[in-house]
Amino acid sequence: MKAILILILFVNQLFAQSFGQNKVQYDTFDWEYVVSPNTNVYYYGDNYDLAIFTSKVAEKSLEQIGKHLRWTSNKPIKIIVYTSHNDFQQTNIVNVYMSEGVGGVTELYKNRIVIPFEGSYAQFEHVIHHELVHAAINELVYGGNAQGLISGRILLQVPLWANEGLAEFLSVDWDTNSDMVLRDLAIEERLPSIPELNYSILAYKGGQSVWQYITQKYGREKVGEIFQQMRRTQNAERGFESALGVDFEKLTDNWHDFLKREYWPDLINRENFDDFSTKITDRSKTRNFYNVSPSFSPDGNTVAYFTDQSGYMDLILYEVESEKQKKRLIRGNTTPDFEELKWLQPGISWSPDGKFISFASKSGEQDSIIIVDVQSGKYEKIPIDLDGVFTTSWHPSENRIAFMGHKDDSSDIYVIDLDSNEVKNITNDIFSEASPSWSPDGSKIYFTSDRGVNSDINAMFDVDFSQTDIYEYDFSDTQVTQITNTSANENYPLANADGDLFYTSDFNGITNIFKHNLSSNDSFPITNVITGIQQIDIDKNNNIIFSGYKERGWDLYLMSNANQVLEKEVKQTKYFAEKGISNDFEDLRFLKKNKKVATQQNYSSHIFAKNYKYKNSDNKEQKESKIDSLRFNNQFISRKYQTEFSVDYISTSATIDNLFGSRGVANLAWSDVMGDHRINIGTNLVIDLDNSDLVIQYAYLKNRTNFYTTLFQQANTFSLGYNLNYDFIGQLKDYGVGFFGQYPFSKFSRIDFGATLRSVNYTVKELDIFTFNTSTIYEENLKAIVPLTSFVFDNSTNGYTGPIDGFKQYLTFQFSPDIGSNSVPFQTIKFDMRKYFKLSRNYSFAARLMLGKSMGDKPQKFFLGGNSQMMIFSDTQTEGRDDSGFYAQRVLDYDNTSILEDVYFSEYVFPLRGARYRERVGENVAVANFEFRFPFVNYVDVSFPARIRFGNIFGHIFLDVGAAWDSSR
Amino acid sequence: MLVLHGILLDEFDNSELVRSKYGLTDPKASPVLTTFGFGTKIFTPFALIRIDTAWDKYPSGGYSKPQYIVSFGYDW
Repeated sequence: MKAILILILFVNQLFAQSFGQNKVQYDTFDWEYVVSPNTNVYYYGDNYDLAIFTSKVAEKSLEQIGKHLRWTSNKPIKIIVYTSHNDFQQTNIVNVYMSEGVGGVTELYKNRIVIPFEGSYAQFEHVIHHELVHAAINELVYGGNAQGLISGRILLQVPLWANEGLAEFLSVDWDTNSDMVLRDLAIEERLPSIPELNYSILAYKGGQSVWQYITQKYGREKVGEIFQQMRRTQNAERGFESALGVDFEKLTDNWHDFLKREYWPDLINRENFDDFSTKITDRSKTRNFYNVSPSFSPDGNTVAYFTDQSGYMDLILYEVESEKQKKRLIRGNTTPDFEELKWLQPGISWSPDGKFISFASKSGEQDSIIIVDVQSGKYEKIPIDLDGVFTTSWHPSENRIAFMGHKDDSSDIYVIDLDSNEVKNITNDIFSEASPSWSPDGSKIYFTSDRGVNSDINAMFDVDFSQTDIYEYDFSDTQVTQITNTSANENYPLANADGDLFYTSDFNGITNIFKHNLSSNDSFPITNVITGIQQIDIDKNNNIIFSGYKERGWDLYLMSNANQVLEKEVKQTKYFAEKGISNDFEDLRFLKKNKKVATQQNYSSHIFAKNYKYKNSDNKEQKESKIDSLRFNNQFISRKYQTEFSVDYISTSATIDNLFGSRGVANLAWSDVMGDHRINIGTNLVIDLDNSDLVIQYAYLKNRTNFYTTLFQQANTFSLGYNLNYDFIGQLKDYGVGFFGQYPFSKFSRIDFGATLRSVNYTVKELDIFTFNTSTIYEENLKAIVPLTSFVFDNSTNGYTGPIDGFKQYLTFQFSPDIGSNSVPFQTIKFDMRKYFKLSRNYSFAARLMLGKSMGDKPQKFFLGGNSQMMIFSDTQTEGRDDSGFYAQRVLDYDNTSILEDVYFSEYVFPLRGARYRERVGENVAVANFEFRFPFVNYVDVSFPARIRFGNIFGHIFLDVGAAWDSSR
Repeated sequence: MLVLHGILLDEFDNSELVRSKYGLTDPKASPVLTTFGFGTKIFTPFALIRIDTAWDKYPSGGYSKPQYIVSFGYDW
């Protein structure tokens, strides 16, 4: 499918206009790289230290991954490190837009890992390890490239839950967050079957839990065996069954039983949210996932928070007294200023007078602090010259905002003076800080940090960033003081006027709210929930609002008089109690199976010790050469990145052409490591080069303006009929060159420009059926230079099968000047706008209007009717009479006197389903389409001839109205 | 309006032009086509396949036989 789309894309870029959002290269990166035994780590700028950190984490992770998978890396894995999410979003290695929720990605063509550093070393280490698991699986199962899958040589598709779940399990093993998600599923009795994990975000945490269960029950040695068996059988379920002795159905039962035993006892010892708080959002109605970052207005009457209930991340105001949503203040994700609202590290804050709200946003090229007027919704954008901005906190009485800023390889607390826009870094160190909040008198800032025991260390790779505590920065002496000192992770500190500090802590395995007396330093939990709490805020009356996890998502809850709540007892979770129990297991990587016992063996050079088996191998030279002292001498020498092409894939595919039917196409693609230079060749070789299709495209994507150059030739031979002596053969040929550029203004809009130079030929030959001699009896040629410019806007959101919300449009002008007797002079203008209305989750209504007009001596024709890549499997009719004659075929009729114009300079306009290709033809076109799209069947299980599950089957009802007509002469 | 007249009105006003252009007989034949229908789409390992049933509504009333269409690709 991918290959099919690629060829169609070529044609689009040459001859037609396409929609699509943009990946904007705001910056140009000057890449270097360092090598380690098993990795090449690419970096840019002053981030050499970050590259070394990545190398060290990667080597350590690969050892652990290899031991689990019984796999050793045989070629260096390429890890490309960006120093912010904004930079990461500019990568050309992966085409899709990397939204805020994408923490890293591993692609299959070259098995490259692409990751951003976003300020937290703990998160960065997690992502490196997680993505390396994918890279290891890619190499183990698919040989480290996409060729096996594309060619069909490798049938095994590792299920999403097994892939993502193992990546989570090996990178974090188990933690309070995973424990929370699974405890919630078990207690709510919403445990999915193992195959169902593939169809939701539970592929990650659910899959992680399945691997936790498997390794606890069968031992960690089973991980490698399962992958060996999957490879052997080329089937995921059969692989699990061979290794474990149970199929997915039985494995599901056992896993569910394990989870119930693990979590159901928690029902006795812990509280529901309803027991001590009031829910103010209701996901059972809105069916979203996130209601986060609540923030009280200074008078306590309004709560601002982020929610994804519309499908976008919006900022909503909630009125406490009326218990209703007041209004949507900001819509996220659809405009350049609010591209991402930083909901992963959110921080909404009110001005002291309650008239404005601040929050951080990705605003195109860089992050900004947004100050929005609560009444009018008008906003001011303050761009911040840092790599990332998160979590704003407005001073209680002054025009200053504290926020978390990320620059290069560190994250710090910054303060901006809103009168002068002066930004000051107040922590300025290597440690990771988060969640700043002001003391009530504005003299101090409380924040979370991993500095703990590391306070004397200045090198990032020596920092123990696994645990966070709360600290206080005092403006009077500029000193940082540690407030909490526990083995738990504290977060979201907030001080009230009574001298108490409230925060969250995952003490004993569940994240609860704690109260800490700043004078006595006594602290205790004031909640004892079953699942978990994050992002708290407190009003002047000591009411706390927080985001709580329940029924697979986050709702907001209001807890009154939190300062009067007595200490709760938080008992250890089962996971927490058993944490740290040794999980050591046998390294089976170099175990030789079915090895014949030698009759004579020289043991003089053997080492009889555990873990030294590989040194006794017959081919130990090969094993030992993996640590290449020439390649890596522990010096991490920086090397300049050189553009070198390597093959991405070679494939064959079939396409359906409106005129000439289906055809086979071979595709070949090369690119460099960064994906900035791409070469694609599509070809359909027939007899000789003259009769073949060939498209060669070079794309240069490194800078903001993308350039494409294309050389093309298309040839088609078809029958024009016959008589007693001759077959008449028509031959069409088109060749030329195209230049094309795209300049994006933002993610949502761009201008396209380019030109095509082409020559088209039509030849009629007669073949003597007795002598097989051919002679040309008619020849026709046209030449054209067709410049094109277009403005494209697209902020639509895609669902499973296409756009479900938003708007897109293009306005295109193309013309062909008169360049002589064989030219095709025309001027054409086209306009296409499409609006999508999301009615509810997965239900949408789509409307479209397309207008086109062509002028000039030889205006283009719009061919209206049918659908793209269409086949009709029934009788077609004209005015109620059966009529198998497709109008498309008439283009290739012997009598058609405008065959070159029709084939090469016409525009097909779709869809008009129920009509055939070219049912109407004209120099003008107008089309309106209306479509209601809905989920039809969730999934269908087919048992025979093979067990296959078809998921997410959608339906639609449509009305198409269109007209094409000629202008008066 | 003059411009509009020049662009629009010939084939819209004069059905004979349309009939001769496409070989039709319906006295109300026009450049306009109206079609409707329903369909389903399903993911396969190769492509998103769409299966539609569609009808052509004739200008003088009545409908074509249903057309059964298979096409590939995502929603417009």
